[in-house]
Amino acid sequence: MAATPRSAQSAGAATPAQNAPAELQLQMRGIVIENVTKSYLDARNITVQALSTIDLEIASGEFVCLIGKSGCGKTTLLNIIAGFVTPSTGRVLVDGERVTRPGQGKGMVFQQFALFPWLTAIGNIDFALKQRNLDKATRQTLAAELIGLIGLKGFEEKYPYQLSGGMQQRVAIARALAIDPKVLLMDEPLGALDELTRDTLQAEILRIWAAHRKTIVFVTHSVTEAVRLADRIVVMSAGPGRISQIIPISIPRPRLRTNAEVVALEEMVQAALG
Amino acid sequence: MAMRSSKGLSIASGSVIAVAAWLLLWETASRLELLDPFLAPPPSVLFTTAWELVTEGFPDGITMQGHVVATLGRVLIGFGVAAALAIPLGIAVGYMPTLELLFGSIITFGRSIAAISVLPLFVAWFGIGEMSKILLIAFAAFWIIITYTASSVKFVDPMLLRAARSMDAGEGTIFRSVVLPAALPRIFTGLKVGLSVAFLVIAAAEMVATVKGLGALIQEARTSFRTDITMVGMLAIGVIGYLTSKLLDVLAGRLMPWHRPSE
Repeated sequence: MAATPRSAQSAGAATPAQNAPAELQLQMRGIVIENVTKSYLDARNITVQALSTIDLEIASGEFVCLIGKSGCGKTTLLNIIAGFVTPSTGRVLVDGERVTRPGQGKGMVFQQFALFPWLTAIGNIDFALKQRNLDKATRQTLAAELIGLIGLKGFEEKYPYQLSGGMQQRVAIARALAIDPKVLLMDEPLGALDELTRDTLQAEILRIWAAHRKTIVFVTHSVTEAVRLADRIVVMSAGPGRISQIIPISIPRPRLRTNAEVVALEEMVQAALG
Repeated sequence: MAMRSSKGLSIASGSVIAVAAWLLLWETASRLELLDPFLAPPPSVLFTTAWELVTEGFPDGITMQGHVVATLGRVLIGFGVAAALAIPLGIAVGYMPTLELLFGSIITFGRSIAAISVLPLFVAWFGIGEMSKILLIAFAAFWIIITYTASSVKFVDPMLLRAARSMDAGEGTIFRSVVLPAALPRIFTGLKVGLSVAFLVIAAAEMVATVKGLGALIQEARTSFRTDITMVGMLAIGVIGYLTSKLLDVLAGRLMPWHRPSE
């Protein structure tokens, strides 16, 4: 394991007191974000702090929504968890393993789908399966299962351009699941879709999550969406990016907007956003 | 699908009507002597001239077919040489930032040199035979194709790369299975532009020491004051340029069935 006390020290800001429980966290499943900050130099060589100290623990199987206005650092934080961006200080552990790069079982779903246009729906899913070095028969079985899961039977051989936006995002979700991820990281996945499709896909994502119980970190700027989906809403605010409030939700799903509790919660999240 | 084909048909019939109307107007203007029949020979004369070129030939009995074959051969060989060099080099330059740093400015520089201006040099270096003509075409097309290819590789959608990395794809897999297919549509655009540039320089390439080829035909027509032959030669270059470009479109469609034709 890379995440020994020595590497924790090399992270810089970690104090010895914080190092002690790291050994225990090695055993922990889920996501641990420890003392993460991010600053960078802008075009005029001035240091900009994108994220001030972030500490957050996400339990295995939990559905967490990161919400905030633009510039609050929610996408930066997701990219740090994903391994696309290196934090300036601190570290992220996924199932006890320190994040050093993309991959390592972190499934990604992007706002613009990012499907490979030259591969069919099933080809995109198979691309992910191939990276797991599975034999062809196993890949075929798994791909068929995933196509069934996202309800796209009959569309296997369609290229992305022949599919609607909602269908493309379903394929992208299946592709992310195909790597058998420990966590699913979704960056405003429904942001590019129309209202009706968004509504359907929110239900789909909940159904898939209920079936697979993957840990999900879901970035959104929609209060309604966060309230409908999450176990916990992490509200972030800008200047510098930080967690301003964490709101756990105990209302059972499906959370209909006719439910007074749901409406009250939406108002509360809206107020927290400022 | 049915919508698209009926729309395609109407565009095709629309352009036929436009061309017919244009020819009719031209013919009438020429017959009424609104146009000088020597400077702008009417379509009927051009058809007669074209027929003479096909049956008798000009100059010295070289037929139209002979000119077309000579020109097409030079263009395709020159274009082929350019593509064979420019595509692999362009991929390397686009993929490796160090190479781009080294050769990026050379490519911009080379692209800025008008191909026709190097003709005297090529004649001095490679003689007045086929070699200098083919290399001039290759030179012109090379810079265009390498420019498109390098940028196609360099500007692959970063989200596709991120998606591949999130699936633990290695750099070799990413290069072969993401970068190359993602670059293909733009490489084809480069080939199409390169081909049209090859046809642009053919007239100049064939002005030296040859009587065979459409460029030479135009040159000969000029010295014999045959504007009608100049026009027929010009139209012939246009027609084979158009047809070869369409051929590339067909090839692109076969190779990239996933690519929307509108893109």
